[in-house]
Amino acid sequence: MLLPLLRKVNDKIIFTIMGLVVPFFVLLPLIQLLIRSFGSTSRYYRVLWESSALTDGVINTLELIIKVGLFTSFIGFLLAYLMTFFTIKYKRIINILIIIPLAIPVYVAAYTYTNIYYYLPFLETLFKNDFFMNGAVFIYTIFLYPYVYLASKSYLKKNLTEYVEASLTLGRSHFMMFFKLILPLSRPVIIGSMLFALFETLSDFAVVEYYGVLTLSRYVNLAWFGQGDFVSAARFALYILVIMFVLIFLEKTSRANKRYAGASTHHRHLTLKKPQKIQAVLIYGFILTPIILGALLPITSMLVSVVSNYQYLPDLAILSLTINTLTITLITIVIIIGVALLLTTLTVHTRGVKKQLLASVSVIGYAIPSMVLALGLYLLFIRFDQWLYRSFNPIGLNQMIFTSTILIVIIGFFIKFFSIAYSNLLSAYHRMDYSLLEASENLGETKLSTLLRVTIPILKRSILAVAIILFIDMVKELTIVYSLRPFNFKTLSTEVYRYAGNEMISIAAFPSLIIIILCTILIIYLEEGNKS
Amino acid sequence: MIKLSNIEFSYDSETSILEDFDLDISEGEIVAIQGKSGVGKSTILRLIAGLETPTSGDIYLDNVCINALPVHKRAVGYVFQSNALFPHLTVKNNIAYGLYNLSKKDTEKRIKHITEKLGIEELLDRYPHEISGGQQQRVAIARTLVTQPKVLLLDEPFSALDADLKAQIQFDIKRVLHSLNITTIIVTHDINDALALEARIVTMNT
Repeated sequence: MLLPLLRKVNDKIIFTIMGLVVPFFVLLPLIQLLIRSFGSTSRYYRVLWESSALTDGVINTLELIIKVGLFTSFIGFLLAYLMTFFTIKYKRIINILIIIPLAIPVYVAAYTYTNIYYYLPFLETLFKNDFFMNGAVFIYTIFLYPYVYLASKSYLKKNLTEYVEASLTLGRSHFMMFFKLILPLSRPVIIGSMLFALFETLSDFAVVEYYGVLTLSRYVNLAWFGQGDFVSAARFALYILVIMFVLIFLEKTSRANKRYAGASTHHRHLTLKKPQKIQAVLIYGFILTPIILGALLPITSMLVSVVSNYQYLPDLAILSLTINTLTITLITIVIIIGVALLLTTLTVHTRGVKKQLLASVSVIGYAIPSMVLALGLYLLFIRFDQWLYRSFNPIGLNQMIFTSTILIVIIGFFIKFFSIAYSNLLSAYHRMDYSLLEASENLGETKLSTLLRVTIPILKRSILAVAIILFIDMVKELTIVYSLRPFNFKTLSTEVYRYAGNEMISIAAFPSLIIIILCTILIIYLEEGNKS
Repeated sequence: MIKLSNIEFSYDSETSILEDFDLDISEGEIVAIQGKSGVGKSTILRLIAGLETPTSGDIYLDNVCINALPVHKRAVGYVFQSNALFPHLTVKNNIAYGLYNLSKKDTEKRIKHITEKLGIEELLDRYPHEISGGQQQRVAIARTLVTQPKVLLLDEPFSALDADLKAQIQFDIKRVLHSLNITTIIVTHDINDALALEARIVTMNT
């Protein structure tokens, strides 16, 4: 039924609309923020400015991202290197365990570690110089390093085989090769994936709030929810955006004019190195440390909390929380994938500047910290809602359409996570044989019907993978849901935040564990699916 | 010089790549291993270089069994089919990559000598992606020869070149190999490559 319709529809119009609407939607909250930040300076902002608290906020933010960036890169890349180049026993299980911290939201980790510090106080003493900042850095590092690990492992495995073999035949030892070849060649991948860890760090407000570190995200949160001061919140949000864009700019310029993996490389398996005795102890020690800190300890702690507090389970309405979470997540995934398929098709068929512009604007969303995006959207839609209410109240409209429903959360999710679907599907498209699309059109199909008959069936595995990645990110997301949700709308993540904020960390373990179980199952499915 | 004795090789127990393979090469000899795709020609080079380990059989270099010798200690030069030039290094640094034991002066001397022989002395400051396919080929050979290996292994060195360039590079390589008197094994699917280098031809069949 759909197919005849798609053959009749003018696909050019659909693609043009999509090509305009999506970038417009992504940019609009940012424009709104910019406009709002020009409002008159409040007393709150002046006090922060004059007391140098704001400067401290910027310094704290920079210190946080520098430390998190360095540590996530070090741990993530070294793990990827060891897992790729050395014979490791039980590699498959260890690989999954290394990735598991990604299934644990950072705010859940922060709350859980309060219990862990109680039983293992020596961990706390490691941060004694500056417990608050170092504690936050520790949480972000241990639960975000898998971003660097996953990207680096994939790169090392697929791209370096012949370079490594060439280096060995030229007489370089493994140790020297790491510094002369592997590390420099991997630099763009390390920096690119580290940026994802930093985006997450800048997006989060719950961990820094819990550890009492005053960063710019915290100031946005305090100005918005504590003071109702949107002008100051918008300005703080813009400061964060400036930091984000400086990071992206530095990443782009650092690899300008240099080619990192140009020569053709065969996907031959690397010959693995068997570690000697002392080497093996060091390697297993290094691999097991983040697994213990990032997976085994927090999950055990949560399980203990759940078992010892099971009597509270009926009061938590876990089922309704899970349904709410799944509802917004699944609706958004369907919308995102549908739109991403249309927009990637448009991108593939577009040439020149238009193509670059489309691709650049469409991937901005993920780089916008959640708190910044939430504020931009709220400022935008509260005005729009007020206008709608005033205009349509006489004919029966009796509520705010966007800001008092889950619509605004879905829009927030869409803008934040669209780039994940777009960039992944675009790279899947690029791996596809374009002549298949041309053959389909040559046989009388339109671009839209080709999408349905050729592209989707061929890309179905990539589409499923994208859906899983989106699901994991959305289920964990707190800031957007917490900031934009309608009154009394609760999800697993907002309940974790609420209970933990009220010092009921053991109770927060119930919804936390549901999030972790859902994400872990999907991460295992993704990893094993990649292998097969 | 180099001897392969009763070599067997397989990736798993079901598929055998090489069975009972013998090869004997004298010092300074140029041998071309010729045959169809998939018969295991490149595998022989990888076994000699130490990138694969034979399932059974022995490999001798100067009458010494090198089966257990790690790749980086074999003094066997390998020019890969894709050239495998390090993209983050200039041509000069690519060529100097294997000369880490030499002083700066000796390194410069060796680089000058080999680049002049191969006619690539103008390319030293460029990156691999800034030079042509034929030039990349010469740089890859220079990078290997500059380490003065005992044996040179060339894996399908002419497969990506067009006819005119191929003839020119074949001529240059033949000249360099003869002047250095280096033992060379070249793998090719085209018998004309072997003839152009005046090599002894070993034909492999499935």
